[in-house]
Amino acid sequence: MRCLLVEDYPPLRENIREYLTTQHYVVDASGTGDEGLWYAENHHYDVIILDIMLPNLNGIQVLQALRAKQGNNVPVIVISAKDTVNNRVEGLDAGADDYLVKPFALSELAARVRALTRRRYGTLSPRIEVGPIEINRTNKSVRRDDHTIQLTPREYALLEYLALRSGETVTRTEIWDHVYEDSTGGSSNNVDVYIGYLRKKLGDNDGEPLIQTVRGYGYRLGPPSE
Amino acid sequence: MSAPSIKRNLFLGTGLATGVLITLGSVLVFLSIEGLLRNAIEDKLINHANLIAVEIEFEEGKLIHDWKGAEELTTPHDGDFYFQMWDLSTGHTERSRSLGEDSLPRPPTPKKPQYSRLTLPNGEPAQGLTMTLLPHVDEDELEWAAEHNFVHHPEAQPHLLFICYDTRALDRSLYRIRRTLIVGGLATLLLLGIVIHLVIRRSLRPLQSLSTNLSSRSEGMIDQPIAIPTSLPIELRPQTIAFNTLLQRIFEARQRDRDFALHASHELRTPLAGVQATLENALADERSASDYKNRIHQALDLVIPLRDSVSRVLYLARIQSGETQLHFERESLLTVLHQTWLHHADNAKRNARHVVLPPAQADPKVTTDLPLLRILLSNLLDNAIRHSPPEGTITITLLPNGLRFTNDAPGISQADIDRAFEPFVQLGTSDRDPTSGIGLPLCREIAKILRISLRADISDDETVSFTLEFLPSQGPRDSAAP
Repeated sequence: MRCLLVEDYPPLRENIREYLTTQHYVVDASGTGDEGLWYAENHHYDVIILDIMLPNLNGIQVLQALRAKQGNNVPVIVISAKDTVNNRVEGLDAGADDYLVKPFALSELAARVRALTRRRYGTLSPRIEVGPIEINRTNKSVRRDDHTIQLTPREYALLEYLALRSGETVTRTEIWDHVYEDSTGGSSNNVDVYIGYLRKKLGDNDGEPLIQTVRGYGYRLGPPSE
Repeated sequence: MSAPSIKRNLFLGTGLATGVLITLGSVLVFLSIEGLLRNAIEDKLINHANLIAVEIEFEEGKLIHDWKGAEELTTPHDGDFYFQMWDLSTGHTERSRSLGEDSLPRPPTPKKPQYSRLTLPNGEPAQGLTMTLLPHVDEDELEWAAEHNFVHHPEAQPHLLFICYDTRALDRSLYRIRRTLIVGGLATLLLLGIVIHLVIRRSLRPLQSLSTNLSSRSEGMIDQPIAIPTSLPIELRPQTIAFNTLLQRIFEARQRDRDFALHASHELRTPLAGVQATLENALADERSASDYKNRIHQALDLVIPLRDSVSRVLYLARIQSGETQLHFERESLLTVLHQTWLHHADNAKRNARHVVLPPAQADPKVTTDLPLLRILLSNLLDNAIRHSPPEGTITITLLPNGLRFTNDAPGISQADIDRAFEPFVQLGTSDRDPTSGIGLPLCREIAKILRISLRADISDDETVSFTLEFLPSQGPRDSAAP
């Protein structure tokens, strides 16, 4: 999952980024409203975490600019020190999907991010089941046939993204956009390498694979029968 | 001593004035009536005296009292006349039949007719007239004297006449009139008192209504203006409007306080969130001792400016509420600047800012509150360090009556400078520091109470300067300066 974090207070920005990264999110962070808007308009994010009081463009202006664009329905969580009912109403009316008042627990922010991404991909339960695979998004664990499978953060992020779009063919570019940081070196080959790692850990090599290659296009996660 | 009362004052004032007017009016009416009646009696007395006077006459050279034969003079139709006369040449006295054997007191001989009041021998009140008269000589007597070659000498036999009129009936009438006037006056006074009381009560009802309106207000409505109904008397409108103006000022002051508290709360939430996030991250995983230590240091680094920020907010609130006690001392301005600079030297070095202090050529003295002046200078230095770029230069210049702090400040606009002294305004476009935003407003408040002029300017080359100048009465070069 790829998140955009727009927060101008560096200590808070760095801590949120660190926490979400440990939660297997890919986080792009920005400290100003105009830069945040540029990121949002030029990348595909699963969720945006947006402060209100920002230099250059404030959070409400960023949100209005985003929502004014056709087809941009990325979920946005507003984080703000402003806590009055009017402030919340203003944020939600500007197009935010959620509003969190500072100071907040990072675990709560992460839970809200999970909730918004579930809604985005139409899976209301925190558990995703694809064939014999069960992914628990709350504790980031993966099981197959009652056996826990140990995954690295990158592998987990890749599997989670494929699982949220299970049954759909996902291109390498989409995987790249949602699972990898901009600073990550390499290319789409990197995606193929991690798909290989994942297949091995999921035991795909032993039978009909859960992760199917759609030649010339990308990958599709689904039960072997699909 | 009881508090003054409009109701009581109006009631007593109008009651007293009305009472005095009624009393004076009654007295005047009574005296006029009495005067008229007594004048009528005096007219009667003089007419009667004239009738008697012509009846004391000479007849063939002898003095006779002809009035004794005149029934209308001895027994007047009203029977209220009493008179007595004395022959001043012989001392012989004659009296009216109505006196019987009684005598009137002999009055002194007047030069002209004189009225008086007296008590008759029968004990009744009376009005009297005393006059001196000479015996009358009529036409027939003059013819007789001419025939007999006789000369009359009436001046040799002057008479003193004292004629009285019984005023029993008059006094009774006057008593009735007096009683009527007193009773009528009291009744009028009572009626007027009731009317005045009702009018005052009715007139003061809007005041009670205003009072009820104010006392029944809930805490949230305290500073809301009073509705002015069309029925409010025009005399109360200016006061009500003035009171509403006062309420508006209170509302604005409370709104400023609320906004300040709200801003302060908002501004402190972000660094607090930073502290919380740092500590939460620290606890999110098992870490090495050094990692824990690092993260605790990070949290501490956030808490210290947060604490300073809270202190500044409190200081600003205290200054604005007038709680700060000033203690004026005399000190060198440069000494205060150098002392303050020592607290910022490390920060400037760490952030690669070059600070140029003024040379110690002159040593102007200021008489001011030194702790407050240090806070002012400290905030200006802190502000300059925050907003100048790395390797930027901050120049502090000594002015004839103050100091100027100049620094490079790329990205700061005129609009930023215009709002620089407002609370919680962030200057520039760099990452926001939520622990700032109070320093410059605090400077402004301190400058106000220390009588220092403080202004911010921006030049075309993106240089910002803050100039503080001591106003003349507090100037650094006062007469005692060396």
